[in-house]
This record gives sequence, C-alpha cells and structure tokens, in this order.
Amino acid sequence: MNMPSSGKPTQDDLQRLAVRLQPKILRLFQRHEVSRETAELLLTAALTRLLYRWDRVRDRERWLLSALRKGLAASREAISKGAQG
Amino acid sequence: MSERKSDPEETYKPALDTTLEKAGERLQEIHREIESAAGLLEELAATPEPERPERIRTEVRFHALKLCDLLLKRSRESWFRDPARAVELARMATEIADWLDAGYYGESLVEDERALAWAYLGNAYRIASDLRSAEEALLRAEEHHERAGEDALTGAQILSFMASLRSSQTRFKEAADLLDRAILVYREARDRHLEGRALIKKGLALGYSGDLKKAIRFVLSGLSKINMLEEPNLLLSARHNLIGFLNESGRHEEAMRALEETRSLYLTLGEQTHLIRLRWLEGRIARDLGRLDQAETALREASGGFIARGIGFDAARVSLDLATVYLRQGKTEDIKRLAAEMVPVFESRDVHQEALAALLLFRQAADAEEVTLGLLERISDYLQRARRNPELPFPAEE
Repeated sequence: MNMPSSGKPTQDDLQRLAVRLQPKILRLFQRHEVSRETAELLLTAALTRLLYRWDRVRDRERWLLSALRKGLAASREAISKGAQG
Repeated sequence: MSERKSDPEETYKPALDTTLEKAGERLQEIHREIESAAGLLEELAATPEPERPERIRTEVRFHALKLCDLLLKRSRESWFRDPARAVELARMATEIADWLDAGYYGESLVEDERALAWAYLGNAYRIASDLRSAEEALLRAEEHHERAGEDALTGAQILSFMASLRSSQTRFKEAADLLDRAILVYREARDRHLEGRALIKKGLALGYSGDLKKAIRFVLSGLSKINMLEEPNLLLSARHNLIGFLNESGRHEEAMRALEETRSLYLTLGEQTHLIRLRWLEGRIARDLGRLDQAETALREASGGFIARGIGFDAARVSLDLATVYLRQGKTEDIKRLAAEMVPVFESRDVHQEALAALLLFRQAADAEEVTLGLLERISDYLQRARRNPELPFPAEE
C-alpha cells in the first residue's frame, strides 16, 4: 500500500506512479483492445481526477487501475449501445 | 477503432507519454490553485453574506475546485467548535461547486465535488441539529454522486454521513447497515484508517442502541485499525465510549482500569471539554463501584464545567447522574435543591422545549419526593437521544 506522501502531489510522485504502473496499464489497454485515442482519453481523465483527489486516496495505484477498469467498462458499454442503436 | 494483438508498448506507450506530459502541466495548475485558495477564502469570508452569491457567480477566479476543497476542510474543522460556521462554509462550497467548469475539470470530477460539498453541508446541518435540512442536503449529494459515476470513496463518505444522521434520528439499525457498506468500500480500497473509523462509528451506533457486547467488539476492532497519529481525537473518542460501554455492561473494574490507561491521552490532547468528560466518566464508574463520595465530587465538577461552557444537554445529564448518587445516599433534600437549580440554568442554554419539559418532570418528582432511578434513567436516556433531534418527543411512561 502506498501511503500519502503529502496532500500535494509532486512531479516526482507522478513519475514514480507512472513507472510502477506502466506495465499494468499497457496490459489493461491491450486486453480491452481499445484505440490509442480512447486509451489517452481514459488515462487523462483518471489521472487528472487522481491528482485533484491526491490527499483523499490512500492506495493510489489501486485507485488508478480501478478507475481505468471502470472507464474501460463504460466505454465498452457505450460502444455496444451505439452498435445496437 | 480497436488495437488488436499488437505490442502494447508500441501501441499505447505514446498515449501514456502524452498523458503524463499533460498531467505534469495540470499539476502546476493544481499547485497554483492550492496556493491561491486561502487568499480567495479570506476574500469571500470578508464579503457580507448577501453579496457572496453574486461575487461567486460573476468572478471566475472563485470557480476553483481547490477553493471548494479548502472550504470543506475548514467546515470540518468547525463541526464541533462552531456548527453554524461549519454550515456557512459548506454552503459556500456548494455555491462554488455549482460554478466549476466541467470543460476544464471534467464532468465527472465536477459532479463528484458537488456531491462532496452537499454531503459536508448535510453533515454540518446534522451537527447544528437541523435534521430535516441534513436529510435534504444528503439526498442532493446522492444525486450528484450518481451523475459523477459513483466514485467509491465519495460514496462511502456519503454513507458515513447518512449513518450519522440516522444515529441522530435514533435509527441505529439503519445507521449500522449503512456503515457496513462504507466498511466494505474502505476495505476494498485498502484504507485501513477509514475502515477503522467506520468500525468505531458502527460500534457507537450499536452501543447507543443498547447492544453493548457488539458495540465493544466493533470499537475494539476499529481501534486496532486506525492510525492514532492521524486522528488522535478519534482515538480518544473511541476509548472514551469504549470505557462507557464497559461500565454500562457491568464491567466497572475493567472500565476504571481502561480509564486510567487513557488518562494521559485526555491530558495530552488537553481540550477542556475532554477533561470535563473524563470527570463525568470517572463519576459514573465510581458511582457504579459504590464509591459514592468520590462520584459526587467528580459529577459536581463535571456539571459545573458544562454549565460554565453553556453545554446544556450534557450538564443536565451529569446532574441527573448526580441525582442518582444522592438517591443512593438517601439525600432527598439535595435532590430537591439540584432539581430546583437545574431548570432555570437550562432555560437559558441550548436545551429545547421538549427537553425542558422532561427536566420539569424531574423537578416535580423531586418536590414530591418521588424520584426513582427508573425516572432518572428515562430522562437521561431521552436527553441523550434528543440532543440533536429537537423534534423527538419525551416518551410517556410505560
């Protein structure tokens, strides 16, 4: 579990998080077969949210992966609804 | 278009790099927001209340999420010290959250912030004893939470505030059920401290409902999980209630030992009201151990302390505990004197009409020399439940 370093995230915090999670994030996108654009959109939204919620989230790695999974599920649902409609 | 079975590094690494670059830029903007938030809050606080909504609406610099966060933090700090201020700060946060730019922050984050702001406003209303407004605000929080895509941690926060409201409404079973859901979220998020805090809150709800055995178990379980350095007041509150539950369940010696172990924490945190509550607890345990003179001294001090600080409900309950000591000592005249002193003192304090009626009943019984332990317990129990619920009627005798 990664404990909060402080209420205010730094560039170092961001880099560390990215380095640690990169393999998992890449695998996640590949498994869901999303486009590069969708991947970028989802990751930007999740990361922005995490940066604003930095002091409220204790296990940030887990939170970010969970937010991405949720975003991927929502994106798949939207595509499937679009195909049906 | 989907990307199939290619090398993930080759396919998605550019997206990751671009995102990180953007996040780095956003981080600098967040830092600027954090740095300007305190100054903006001061400006708003210095603006007369009727002019604030217009300023918030027209001046874009106030439309900042970190300002909203700071208002919520300050509201939280005022919860018990100044409940009216806590309401005012949380209300400002809801007004600012209304104007946050969804194009800049993202729709989901803006809705999440609105959910939090309304949740905090709801909790502040509850502490200020406005339970109806608390209910309405928490319902608004749930609506925004749904629109935000239901962030689990925000959801757990709303559940926890809703549980506190249910406890104030003496709907303890519902409070415990809501806390069960919050506990699961915190466990899933591996937030041991918040899980511990929710376990303690569940223990308190169970204790207030009379299930002391379970209450003790949950409070102990919560205590084993919280980070005491992070929230020393939570540690003290949990220990204080645990000692009370031990005493109420007949484990008086154990309660006294636990109190001695906790004494240094009361003294270290040093808040005057904590020390008065310590004397109250000491008095109750001493009474239940049959040390009536010691109990009388402690309860007299506690009652005087609460009266001096205008904390009417607790002063009344301590006085009722003191009356139980006099009753056991056979001091009928002291009971009459105590009852006669209580009513005028509490008429000018934070005690509402229904509670005053309960105290008048005590006075009548004292004058008629008909005070019983049952009556004192019934009034004290009522005052505890009615404290944050002015609409709760005093129950008729069964």
